[in-house]
Amino acid sequence: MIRLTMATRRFSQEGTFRFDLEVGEGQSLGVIGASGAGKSTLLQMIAGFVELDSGTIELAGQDRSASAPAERPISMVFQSNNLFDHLDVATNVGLGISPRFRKAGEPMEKVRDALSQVGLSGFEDRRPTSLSGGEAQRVALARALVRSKPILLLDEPFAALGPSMRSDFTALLSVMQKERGMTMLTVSHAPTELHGLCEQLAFVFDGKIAVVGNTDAMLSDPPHPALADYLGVSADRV
Amino acid sequence: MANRLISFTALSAFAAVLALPVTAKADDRTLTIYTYDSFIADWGPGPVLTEAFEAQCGCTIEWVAPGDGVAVLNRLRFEGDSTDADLILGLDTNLTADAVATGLIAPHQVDVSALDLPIAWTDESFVPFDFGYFAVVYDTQAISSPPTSLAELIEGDVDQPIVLQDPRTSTPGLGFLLWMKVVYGDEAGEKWAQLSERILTVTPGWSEAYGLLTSGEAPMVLSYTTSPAYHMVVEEDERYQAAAFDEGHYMQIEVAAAIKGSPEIDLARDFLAFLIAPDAQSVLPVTNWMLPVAPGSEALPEPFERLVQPGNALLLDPETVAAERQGWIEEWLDAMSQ
Amino acid sequence: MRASALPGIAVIAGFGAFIALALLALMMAGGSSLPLDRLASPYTRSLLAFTLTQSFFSVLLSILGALPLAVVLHRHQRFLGRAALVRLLALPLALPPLVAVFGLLDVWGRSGLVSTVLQALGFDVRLDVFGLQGVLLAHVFFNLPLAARLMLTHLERQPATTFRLADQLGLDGWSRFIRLEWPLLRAHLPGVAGLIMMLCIGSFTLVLTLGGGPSSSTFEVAIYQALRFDFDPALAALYTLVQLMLAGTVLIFLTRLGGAPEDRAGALAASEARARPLLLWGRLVLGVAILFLVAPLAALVVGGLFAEWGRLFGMTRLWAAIGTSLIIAASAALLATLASYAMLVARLRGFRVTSRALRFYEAGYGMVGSVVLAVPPLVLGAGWFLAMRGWPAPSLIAACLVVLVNALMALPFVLRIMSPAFEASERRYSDLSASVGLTGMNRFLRVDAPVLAKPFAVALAFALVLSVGDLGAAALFGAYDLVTLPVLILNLMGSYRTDDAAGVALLLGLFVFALIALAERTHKVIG
Repeated sequence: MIRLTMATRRFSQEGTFRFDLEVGEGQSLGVIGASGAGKSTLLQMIAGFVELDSGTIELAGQDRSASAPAERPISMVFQSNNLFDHLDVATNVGLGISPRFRKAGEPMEKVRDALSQVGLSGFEDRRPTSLSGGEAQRVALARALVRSKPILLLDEPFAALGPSMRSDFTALLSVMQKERGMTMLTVSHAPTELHGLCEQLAFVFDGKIAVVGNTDAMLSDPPHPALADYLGVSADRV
Repeated sequence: MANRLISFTALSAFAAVLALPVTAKADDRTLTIYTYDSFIADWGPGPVLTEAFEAQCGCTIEWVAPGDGVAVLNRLRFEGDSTDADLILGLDTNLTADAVATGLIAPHQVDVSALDLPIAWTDESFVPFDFGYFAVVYDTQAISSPPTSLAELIEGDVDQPIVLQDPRTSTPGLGFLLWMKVVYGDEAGEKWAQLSERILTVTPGWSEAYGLLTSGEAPMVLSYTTSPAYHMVVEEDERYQAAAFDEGHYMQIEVAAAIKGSPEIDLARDFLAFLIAPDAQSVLPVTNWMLPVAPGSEALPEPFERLVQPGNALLLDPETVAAERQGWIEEWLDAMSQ
Repeated sequence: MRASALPGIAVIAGFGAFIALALLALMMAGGSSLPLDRLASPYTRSLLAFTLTQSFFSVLLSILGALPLAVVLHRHQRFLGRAALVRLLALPLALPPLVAVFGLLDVWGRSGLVSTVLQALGFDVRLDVFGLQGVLLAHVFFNLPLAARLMLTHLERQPATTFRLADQLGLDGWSRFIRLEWPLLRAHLPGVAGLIMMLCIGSFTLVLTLGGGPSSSTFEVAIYQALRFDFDPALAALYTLVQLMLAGTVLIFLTRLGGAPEDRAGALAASEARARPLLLWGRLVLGVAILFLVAPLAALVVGGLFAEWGRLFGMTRLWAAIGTSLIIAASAALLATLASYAMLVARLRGFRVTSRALRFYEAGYGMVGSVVLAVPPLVLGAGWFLAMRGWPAPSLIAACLVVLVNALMALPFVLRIMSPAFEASERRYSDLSASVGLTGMNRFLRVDAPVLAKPFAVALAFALVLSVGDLGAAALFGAYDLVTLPVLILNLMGSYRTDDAAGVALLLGLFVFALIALAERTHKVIG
């Protein structure tokens, strides 16, 4: 469960961001909006990379407004640079279990399991620089799996992937989210990618959540003029 | 970016203009003098002497200061016959043999009978203009009973160390090396080894060493008997004093000479004579902080009367120094490295 | 090889020739026979041994000290005074060694702050800094901040997500260092070590003043002696060659050790780092660093206040020195920046990636980018003075030489500042520029100049800072009758005017600090 109440941050250059948002447990929400509207800031607030000036963030039932990123019940997959290039795949995944991870015993078993779940069995000793974009994203996902945190944040997870990889990755994410009952929040600049992954969409505009609604309804019949503009649908159809 | 480029080009051109020497009006006679840089500093003798000499000669002096005294000689060596110098000023007697060897030094032809040096002046190339005695200068707030001889310095308390200069790189450093040699001869090596216990450090030049004294880091430093005169006259401070040594003190005599083949050789000789005339001799001690070589036109400030008066003035002749220096420095290196 | 390689090749060849011709002129001045036998003397061997020992330990200590400082500064982005501390890191390098010595002694000397405090606490000790320990202390004072600065910049250059990921995974304390920071910095260390090594090999005033005696002498002392007192130009040139070979060998060894610094693609977006609690060890590192770095600087400021400012400002020589310093430094900085640009263009655009020519070029680039620091400015000055004797306008030639030498000495730093930004821009715009047909001057004006304006400005400011504080070029004896600020400081000290010298040093320090602050406002990254 994610709940933001008047979560506010002012930047000298980019202006003020203030979010009110609630995502129920086990739900999958997509976040869309023009670049600069505040999608990434929203994600970074939740993850704890951007601190709040005021307001609160509740995660899995606890106020986490002031917690450090590591203390929040969150896993995150970035658009790129998700892996440490100087560590092998197994260690990159294993760091999700503990900073003191060693490639042995039970933790290593968990890593093998997670890698096989994302279809990368046998990749344990590979270096990130030898992976394709899709493989790298799946390693990041495997790490999110071993972390077994209730919330998963995805920042443009498909940006580095080709079309067929996108649908594979979407399917993989979907299955996992449902199996594990994770609360998931996915930021994307391409709304159509979120079909089949998110039941609901939130549209971010001018530093706020402008509107939240069912994915199909939001895309076919935009309930907000700015969303219509953003999607390229003429406003008079509203 | 393009604009910036242009403005920097303009700056560089400006630099080039600045770099050109300040030249006199074309029809004037110009006397070009090479000297060490502190001689022509705002506070040095240069400005006063320039004014006085230009008033009497109807000429212009152009000063060129390539660095210290050694740099003056080296510039002369590098330039050879093509040198612009009419006169060089600021070598000491340890360098005169090397200077004469360049073949560029003209006889001075100046009447030196007025000279009042502790030694007889027989050099026909160089004219002395001031001199000093090397001495250990100490901080009276750190040392109550200073050494009274080289022997006492060598055997004294290692907790009251001294800072010396490196004879490989500095004139006073070489001066002290010669002082030790004159006093101890063949035993100099042993004495150096003994003294090394008391040496805090050996600096590349006089400035670093003297700075260590005034910053309170060292209680004693090798300098000149005249150093206290600066503090007493300018700062009215009696804190730093020179120690008188029984064995006598080694001398440093600063000299000047005219350059052979100079188109202004007469002017150069006039300047040499001017240097040892009473007016200049009154100026030099209170600007260059050395002792006069001849009677001045005015009495020196009172503190000069209280300076250490060595009973015995020590000096090796330039030829000996030139011939033996390398070997003595090696002896010093060996002794100090033990 | 392409046409865009030519200016860079010309720059490297030009600077190479500038050094080689100076050495050649000195050797020819020596007459027919080269004094090769003197090279094999025990004296030379002892110089070699000491030069290597002191520079090895200086590098080791500087890097060991810089590692925790860089890590703490990178982890904690938001404590009070951080910005000032980071700026101060660039200051020691710009101070004339003679000035720094007195600041250091005010803290570490026999009657310095530390000794005084220890005695007040009842310990009957006086610190003895003179000897190898003093040389190391001074070299670490100069080079630890430089190393910390370079490492910090290297960390800041990593993609923002790398550290966000580490934050989320709870990589903190020792595990953050072992898993992330050390692997990132390790590849960077040989380059940092090489730079510091070059600076320490060429050290002279510091080594002699704090070394305690002639057994602490570097090669530079021998070069100085040979050129000045012995007037043996050929021997000076030979010693210089030995020093250069020494420096080159060290550099090759270090390159082998670490390989070329790796480049990482990725966003340079500055990440907003969280305020994390400063733990005890972090406070300790910062405290020690501030004491070590700031205390001697503070001593210099306090010392400078005693100058008689009225008399000082009335001195025509001061204003002349300020003017000369600025003009020379500005010319040298501009030259160094343009030369670096040409060298980088050639490296990144001038060759096919796999070509042998590129490897040759890289070798030359590496040498000019580091080994030049081991060439004594005195040797360059003397050599060129000899070579150009009899030419008209000697003062103009002297001024040009000083500018050239200063530019050469600033080049290694300017290259290091400019190359990461240049490489990043190259990755982004290289294909784009090619596709719209931007080449040569057009590419410079349309792409490079606007995109790289900030790093250029920082490089320029840094070169300016280095040249303003540089005494090396002023040591061009016999070729230089211009007074710069460091020369003026030396002059004042040489005329009993220690207080005024401290005042001028303070002015110089303030000017340098202002320049660094200005450059940082323009651009966050310097190093």
